[in-house]
Amino acid sequence: MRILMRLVTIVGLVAWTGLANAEEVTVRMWMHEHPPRIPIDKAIIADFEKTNPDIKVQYDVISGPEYSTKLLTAFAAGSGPDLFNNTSTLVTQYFAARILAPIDYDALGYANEAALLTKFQGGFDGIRFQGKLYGVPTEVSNWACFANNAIWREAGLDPNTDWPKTWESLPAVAEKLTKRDQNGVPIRRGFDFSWTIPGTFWFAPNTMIHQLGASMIDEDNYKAALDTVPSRRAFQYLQDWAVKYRLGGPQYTASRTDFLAGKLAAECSFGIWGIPQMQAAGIDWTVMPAPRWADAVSDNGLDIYAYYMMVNARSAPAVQRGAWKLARFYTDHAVELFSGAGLFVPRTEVTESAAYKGNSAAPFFLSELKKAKFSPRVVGYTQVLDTILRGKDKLVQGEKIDDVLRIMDEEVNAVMNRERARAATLVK
Amino acid sequence: MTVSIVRRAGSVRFHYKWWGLIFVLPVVTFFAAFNLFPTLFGLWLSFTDYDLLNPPVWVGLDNFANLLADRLFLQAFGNTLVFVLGATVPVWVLSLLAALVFDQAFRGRDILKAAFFLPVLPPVVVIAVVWRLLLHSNGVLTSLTGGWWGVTEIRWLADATLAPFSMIAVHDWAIIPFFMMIWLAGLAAIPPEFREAAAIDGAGPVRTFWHVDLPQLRSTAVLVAALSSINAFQTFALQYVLPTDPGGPANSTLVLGLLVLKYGFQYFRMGDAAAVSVVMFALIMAVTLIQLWFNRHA
Amino acid sequence: MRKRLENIRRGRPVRTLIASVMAVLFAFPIWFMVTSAFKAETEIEAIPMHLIPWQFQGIAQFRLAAEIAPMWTYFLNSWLYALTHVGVTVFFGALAGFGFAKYRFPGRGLLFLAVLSTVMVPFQVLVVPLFIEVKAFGWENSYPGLLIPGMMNAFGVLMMRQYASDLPDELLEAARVDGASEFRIFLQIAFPLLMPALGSLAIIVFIWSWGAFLWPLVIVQDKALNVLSVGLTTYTQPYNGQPMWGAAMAASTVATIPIAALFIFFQRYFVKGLTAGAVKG
Repeated sequence: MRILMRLVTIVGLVAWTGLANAEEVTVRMWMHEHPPRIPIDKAIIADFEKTNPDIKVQYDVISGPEYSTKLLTAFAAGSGPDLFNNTSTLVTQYFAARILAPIDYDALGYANEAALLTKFQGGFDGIRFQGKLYGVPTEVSNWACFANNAIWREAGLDPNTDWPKTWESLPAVAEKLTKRDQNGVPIRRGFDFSWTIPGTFWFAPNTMIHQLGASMIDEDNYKAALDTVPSRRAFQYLQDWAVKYRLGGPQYTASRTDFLAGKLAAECSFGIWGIPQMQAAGIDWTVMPAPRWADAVSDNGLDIYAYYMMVNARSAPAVQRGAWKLARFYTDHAVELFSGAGLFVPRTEVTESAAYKGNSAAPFFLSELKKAKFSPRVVGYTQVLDTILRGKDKLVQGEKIDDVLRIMDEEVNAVMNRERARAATLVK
Repeated sequence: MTVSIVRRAGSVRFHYKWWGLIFVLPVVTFFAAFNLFPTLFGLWLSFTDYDLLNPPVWVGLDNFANLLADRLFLQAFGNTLVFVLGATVPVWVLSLLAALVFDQAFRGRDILKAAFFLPVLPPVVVIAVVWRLLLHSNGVLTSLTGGWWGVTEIRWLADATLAPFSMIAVHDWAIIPFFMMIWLAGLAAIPPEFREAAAIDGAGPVRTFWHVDLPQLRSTAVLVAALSSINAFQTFALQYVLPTDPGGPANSTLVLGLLVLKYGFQYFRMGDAAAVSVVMFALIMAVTLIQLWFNRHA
Repeated sequence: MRKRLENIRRGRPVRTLIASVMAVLFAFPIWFMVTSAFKAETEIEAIPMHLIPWQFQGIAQFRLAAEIAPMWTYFLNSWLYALTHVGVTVFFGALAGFGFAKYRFPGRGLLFLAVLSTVMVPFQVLVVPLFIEVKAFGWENSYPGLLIPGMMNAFGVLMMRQYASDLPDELLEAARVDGASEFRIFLQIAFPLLMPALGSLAIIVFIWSWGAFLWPLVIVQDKALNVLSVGLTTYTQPYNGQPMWGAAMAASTVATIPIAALFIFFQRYFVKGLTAGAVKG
């Protein structure tokens, strides 16, 4: 149906303009659903179409959970969008399936990669594959920790002075902020991790492992590194959190939800975009860096992820060029994206803008961003994540960590081996 | 006169039987396209590796061989057996008992029967949503049950050992009234003379039940067993919606039906999904055949 | 008569008591669902539990449910889905059942076996290949893709064949001699006679399709096309904020009402439909 309509559109356009000297192209653009950003998108696109009368944009927003599925089925049907965004954790599969087109610097409007990178202050690591870049960032997000000032004050603490700098000192502080019932069950948690939102949980162990100078997944060799000393430290910490200290766990309400409801003293799964939500919920907050290990080798905060705008390699060349032009135009409006939707793109005009300067937390986020590492990018991400989450379940049950990690490592490696074998059979 | 009618009747009879074929054609074509073809296609898929983005690659029996070593599959297989057991035996017994209670007239029977029947009305997803709320670790059900001896947290759905039982309990709660109806229909079909004869012989209620009702209920009993087991194998919505993560904590409530969805639409391993569904089909067939055999020879 | 009254007075209070306990246990969650749809969010999980809403919210939760997600769109889509399934299954099921029962055409046995075999295939076996097939037609995430596969139900054919075979042949013969076409015979004689059974079939198909979950889940990605059973999950798995239980309960109540209405108004057909073909075997 879509193909038919596209055909009709193109035929109609050609008939309308006769043999147009400028190739008129339609760029189909898909973005994920982030309500504050949508009106900004529409304004940018309207502007773009005015400045580029030979390019028409067909803009679609797909809602959250179905977005990845819909992208996949569309690509499979050969009707994938020409320009689309998605998060860095998921891009590897597109790359492995040869869907992504490498940056066309000419169409994008930069002399070369170096010129492009001077405009941005980073954020490209997530879209670099085998040395080449395959997209531009529309949002680079790192999380930090937030404290609910009211609850801290009530417990006689001050986030600015009492915030734990190390993971080791966190349980004691959290305990002071925790209220328990007669059975020791926490009815108001002091601090908790984001156990139940799938995509968010793995940031915790990933960050901890990165701080110890290692990584959960060896991206270049498609190997898991879960049954290692750093990994064991991270997961043991999380197990103790739920089982030994009983400070939290997956059986309680999600940490983001409770924090916004004023029922959690501190948590670490909000980015700078969380601040408007906290303000709307009436939370008086202080932003704090994520704890590090006392003997941490790397001073990184929580892992970062980014949303990249990518071009479909299977689209017609003229359409691809139009798509890169649109990507350039779009990212040039980074200031509006930040001030209107809280989406941070690390560009000078953003950090110089009034909105940025007026945001008290912005410099802090930027400094943490510069020190942080990208969350591992894995092919077969969904299954790998699932495996790790199920391992987390077992740990929370109290199972022996040695067995759990060994099995987790085996299973993740099985998935990655499979993907590597499949990638090797792909014909260019 | 008669001769021409016979000849006419003869020619009409030759024609009209073909109408039968025409009448069944829509249905048959539909099933061929949307049922038989996909079944065969699915069987073919189970011998391939297909990730939707690239064309299918023939791998022969590899998918099935891999399943034997696949922890996820083995776990789902075991969970399915446990679930089916819990969704058939208790249901069979309890729905029969319920039918026996409601079989005879008593004060308030109609309204109580209607109240008892309520779980059948909502769609399965509604049941899953409502029970998910009720089964919060420190929620309503915990306070109603554990509140007696001061327990404030029961991890109905969050504990890997408790979750399968919670799942079975919710499923059984939802279908027992339905099977009670079937038993009631069976009981109603028992000729009252049989019972009267037993009463005259001085048999008490238990003996009457054992020697009169039960033999008469044989076909109903078989039906309940068959329907409840087929239904149990195919349940999906409950396992998908009731826990926070489909599959439950540590995949303790992951059943084969759910695994098909996981492999097919979360991991996009369509060949593996098809292989799991083939195994599922074989399992259902086996159980059904065993039941038939049992029925014939028992 | 006197014996019956004696029985009611004597052993039956015990039965009433037992039945009452059972009824409470089984009806409680439904009661909880409906009353919670009228409670304030904070009251829903109050401990000790509130049996009835203390702060009656009126339709506030229903309005919220319609704000969070397009509940009424889902509702309409569910009706569309259910009614098309019922209509197609009833008509073509009767037609095919009649065809199989009353006409001896070559290949009848084989074709009937083919139809029968489709009942035995669980939907999970079909879902992946059916999805790929439907996608090949270009129907993914569209109304045809949602409605067409599964529109016809083999159970309908089986049931109608059973009932159609009981139709008196003489009636059909007489119509034939009168010169009626076969299709008219079906429409004007067989179909009306099959009405009671079709009523039960309609109800059972309605209940099945109203609660359909797996296929809509897989084939639909646009909110505008979604049915209520899939849409309900949006209330429990929200992206970032609270699961809104009041709205979830309101939406759940809305999803239950049509079936409850069927039950109240067509109770006899309802029960007959559920047990149809079951006891008749």
